[in-house]
Amino acid sequence: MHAQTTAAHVVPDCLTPVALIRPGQTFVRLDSPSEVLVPMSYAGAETLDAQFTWAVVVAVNHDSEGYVPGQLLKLKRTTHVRRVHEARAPVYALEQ
Amino acid sequence: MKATFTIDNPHMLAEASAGDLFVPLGPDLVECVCALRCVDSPDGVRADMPAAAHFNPDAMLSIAVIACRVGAGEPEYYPPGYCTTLPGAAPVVFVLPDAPLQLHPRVEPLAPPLIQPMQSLTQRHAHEALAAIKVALCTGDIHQLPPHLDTTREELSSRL
Repeated sequence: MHAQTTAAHVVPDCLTPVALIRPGQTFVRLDSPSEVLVPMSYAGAETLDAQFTWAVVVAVNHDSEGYVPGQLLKLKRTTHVRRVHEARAPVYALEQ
Repeated sequence: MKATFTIDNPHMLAEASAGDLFVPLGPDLVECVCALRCVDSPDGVRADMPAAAHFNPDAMLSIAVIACRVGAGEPEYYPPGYCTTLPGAAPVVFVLPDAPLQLHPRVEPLAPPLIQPMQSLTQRHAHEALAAIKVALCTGDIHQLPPHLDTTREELSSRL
């Protein structure tokens, strides 16, 4: 039932201004899709800035150039980004 | 972003470098994979802290949540991107991602829970109006039409 509902009404292209991404939601930039980002937040609140927003790198692709998890990026709030989600939950193992 | 990890072999947070992933062992963020908050600098990416704070157990280090083992609404949940500080002496374990992250584009529903009731309501009103008009046409009594069909009443009056 739910699958039918969502299949009937979908947005084909999920580009959205970065200002509309909520804390905890993952996205990639269009010009550099090798880094997975989330909006930076403090105690669940967004960072307040009229022109810019801050995002945190949470994962990088092998071809990412110089980015690391935890890195802050400053983005214009009007920048369009693509929302993504994980195909499966990531698994972390102890560093040996 | 949900995560799975096990905890063993603690280190101090002050030992972490830019890009390292770790799980704090308490008292806060015990369900989260975190990283030092980093910024771009002319020398490359570096941790967002004074050089003197590195290996200093008393320094407060800025960290960012990367992933969380529990879901939103559960105790100890922090959203990815949440930033806070922890002392350099905080016990942590370092972790590595087991496999590359696989992503899919997010497909957003256009709020079907709102659209479907509106569609059924419109359909019901249309059926009611049509039935009322049919009755009015059969009986010739246009005053039986409900008040919200005033324009229809005027149109029928002109035709009858």
